[in-house]
Amino acid sequence: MSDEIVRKVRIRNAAGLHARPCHAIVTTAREFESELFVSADGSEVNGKSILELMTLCAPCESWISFRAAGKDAEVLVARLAALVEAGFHESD
Amino acid sequence: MNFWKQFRPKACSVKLKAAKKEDALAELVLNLVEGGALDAPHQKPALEALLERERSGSTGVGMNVAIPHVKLEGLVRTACSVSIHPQGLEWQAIDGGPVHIVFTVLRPAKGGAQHDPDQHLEMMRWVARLARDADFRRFALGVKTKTELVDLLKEKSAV
Repeated sequence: MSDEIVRKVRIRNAAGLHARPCHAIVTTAREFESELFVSADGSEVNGKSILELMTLCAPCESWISFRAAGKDAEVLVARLAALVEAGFHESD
Repeated sequence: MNFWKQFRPKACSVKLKAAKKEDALAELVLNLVEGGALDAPHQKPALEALLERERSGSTGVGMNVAIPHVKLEGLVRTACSVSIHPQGLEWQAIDGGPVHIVFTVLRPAKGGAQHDPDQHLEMMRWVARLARDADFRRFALGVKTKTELVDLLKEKSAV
C-alpha cells in the first residue's frame, strides 16, 4: 500500500514556474521512487516531466499542489516544498 | 495564439550540422542572424549567454527536445527559432536522451513596446505544449523544408 501525500505551496520567486524551477523539481523528483503530480489552476501534470510542468505557467504568488504517491512520498514532498519556499534559490 | 508568427523560416533549420551542443548553439545563433531575426552585434553576446545558461543547467527538457532560452541586453523584440537535428545531439538532457528538436528563444532583458514580459511566460508555455505533443515531434522530424516546419507550428497552434 502506498501513501499519498498532498501539499499546497505558494510560488515565491519572481519569475514563477519557468524552465529552471521546473528543472529543479524534476531533478529532485527523479531521485525518488514515488510518483509525483503537480497541479495549478485546475490542471494536474506529471511532476517528473519538465515540459509538462512548464505548461502550468504558475506565476509568482500563485499556489501549486504537490501530490506524491509511494513509500518515499513524504520526504519528496517535504524536499519540494522547501525548494519552493526558498524561491528555487533564484536571486531575482 | 500567434506565437508561431515570431518564427521566421529563414532563421530555422531542418538540418543542423553541428556534432556537439556548443557548436549547435553557435549554429543556431548564426541562423538567427542570417535569417534576419537577430542583429549581427548581438551574435556574440547571444552565444555567450546561451553557453552560460547551459553551464548553469542543461536546457534539454526531455522527450528529445531542448529549449535554450536567455534574456539579452539591448534586444527590443524576441528572436526565436525552431531547428531539427536529424541525428540527435548529446545535450545532457534530464532524461539522458538525444536532442532532435531545439527551440531557441532570445528575449529582451527589459519590457518595451515590442516585448511584454508577461507574454513571454505564455510563449514558453505554448512551446512546452507543442514540445510535449508526440504528433508534433514526429511530424517535425519528417518535414523537408523550413517553411514546412513553421507551417507545422501554425497548424499545431490552431488546435
